[in-house]
Amino acid sequence: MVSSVTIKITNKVGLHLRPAALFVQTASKFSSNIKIKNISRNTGFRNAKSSLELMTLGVSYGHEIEIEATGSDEKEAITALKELVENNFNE
Amino acid sequence: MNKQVEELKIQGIGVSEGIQIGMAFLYQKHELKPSSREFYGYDKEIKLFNDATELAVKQLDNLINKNKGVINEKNLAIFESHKMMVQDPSLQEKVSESIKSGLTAEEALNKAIKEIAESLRQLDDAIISERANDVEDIGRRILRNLLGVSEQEQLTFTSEVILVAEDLAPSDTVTLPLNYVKAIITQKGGYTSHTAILARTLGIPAVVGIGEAKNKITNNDELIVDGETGLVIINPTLEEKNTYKSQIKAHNERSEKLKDLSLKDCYTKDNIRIHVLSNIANVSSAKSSLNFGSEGIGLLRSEFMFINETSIPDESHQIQSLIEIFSEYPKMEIVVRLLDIGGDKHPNYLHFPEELNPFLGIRAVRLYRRYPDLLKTQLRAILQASIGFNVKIMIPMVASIADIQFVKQYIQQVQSDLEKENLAFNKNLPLGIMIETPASVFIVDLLANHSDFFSIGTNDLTQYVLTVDRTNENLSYLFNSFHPAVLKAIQVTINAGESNNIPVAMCGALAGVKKAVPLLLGMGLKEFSMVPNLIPEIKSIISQLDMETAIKIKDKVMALESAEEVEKLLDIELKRLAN
Repeated sequence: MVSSVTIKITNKVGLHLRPAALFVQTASKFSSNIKIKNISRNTGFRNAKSSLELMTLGVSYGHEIEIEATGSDEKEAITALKELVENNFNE
Repeated sequence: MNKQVEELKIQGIGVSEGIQIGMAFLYQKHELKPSSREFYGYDKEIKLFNDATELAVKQLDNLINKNKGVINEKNLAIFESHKMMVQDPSLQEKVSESIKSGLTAEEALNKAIKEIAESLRQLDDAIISERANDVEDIGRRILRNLLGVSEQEQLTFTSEVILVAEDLAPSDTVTLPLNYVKAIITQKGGYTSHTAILARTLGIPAVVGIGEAKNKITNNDELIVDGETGLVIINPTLEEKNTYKSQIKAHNERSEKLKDLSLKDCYTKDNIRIHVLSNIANVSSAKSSLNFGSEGIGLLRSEFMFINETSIPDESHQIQSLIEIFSEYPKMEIVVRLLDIGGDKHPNYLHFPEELNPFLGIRAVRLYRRYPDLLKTQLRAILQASIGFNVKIMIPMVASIADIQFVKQYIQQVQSDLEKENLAFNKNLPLGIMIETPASVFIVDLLANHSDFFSIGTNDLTQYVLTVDRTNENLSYLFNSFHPAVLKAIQVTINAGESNNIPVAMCGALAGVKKAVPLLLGMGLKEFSMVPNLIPEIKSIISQLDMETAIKIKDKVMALESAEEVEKLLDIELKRLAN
């Protein structure tokens, strides 16, 4: 099984610095394999638990991203990450 | 018993006045290279790498704990993000793969860091390319641990020292505890290097450009630094120390006396009002400059809001910083220079192309065309923050009328945007320009029709008129603002201001040079702006001069044929004044 979601980034700085850190921390809480890609930049999938890989996606304000999770807690992972993005990283 | 030490004298360039006696602290930035060694096998190499990263995490934790409440939260957050990078699964994977293929831990680390940094830079995104520097920074940290090189703890000296370095970059000033620095000595640099400007701003003595002699100084050597003569004495004798101690005392007494005088308005002997303002580069100098008798800000170097940041500072952040400074100067004149970066100052978050001649490249006003949002945000911040203050805007590096028109267009746009957004702003900000390019001097009369004021930037003017890179220490002997060509450019500018009835100020280093005062007065300069701690001396010299004398000195100087002759004559005139 694979769970996935496509979301638009609406916080000002995009997936950098604190938001990126929060994203990685949240993803790392789950045992599932979690990948992310930047649709707007037409990138491939990267490891969502790596802040370094996340950075190379260059996710900025307004970009659309796709998150994909595979594993025992994939649904919970997707829900948690989706919430984080939709709440603008609790800014 | 003390070990036998020998006194040694070194001559450098004195760039910030004052004498200090203290202990040397050598500040070094290591360039690390992995040494070639035999491969210990996968398990051992991986363990080495894991140990090094574990240690890095501990070091970063220490840094964070030690600096909580000491440095601002933004800088602390950087260390937090470094911690995350150090433990990054993708970094570990890359290193592990390389080790599998037979690379040592050090080689594998270097390869991974290089790959990651390059892939970040390739994105050509200003903010992300800044992260590449962070990746390299953690790479150096892990490598240091692998090689067993101890970290040069930048943040540890907690007693007063004399800082000895190769050179100081703007970024160094964030991490160094400057309140413990009594004086600065650098191997490289000249009168206008960052170190020199920093030292003058802090009001501490500095000697730069001592060259290879720097190697003769070791940690904890006792040093005497004379920032006026450029003399450095290593391990001075007792007699020598006593002589200098009495000089320090005399110097301090004189400064106190001058300070009292400087708080009054400044007039020449024949009652011509001369305004003496300060060049400000951050909030703390804005506060302290009033104690030196500053009558306003002749140059607010807005770069401070941009240089030490990790991303383009947002509008509200800029407004906050500006208001903090403005409110120290109610009713007084405040000249905000628009962002002047490029050349040798690049914030990491702006992705600059490699330039063969950066000083002739994308700098100052030219930068705005590449990053219009940067200009727009700054203008929005200035316009909003300046309500109720006597603020003027100044454009750096102007070389054509189009440069002014470009900025004017943006001001108009920002004004109409702010109106639409119902945001209050200052509608009447005078717009002036820096005169610092040869082109601007040649068309100064035309520029006068488009500007409300001029301010002469002598450092860049000298660099561009004499075609001498001011950061090239091999040419520092040629860099001299007293060169007749530079003086003629200054005179032409002041004359154009007079005939077009617009004020002319000088905010370059020359305005704070004591012997230049009679010359500049004689040329007709009425507004001087300089680093705050020079104000008392300069005001004192102005008050001892009358215009007739100043004009006579100017006439003599303008007939001379070389910078050396000019300096010699002005030295004599200054001495005559002192007697």
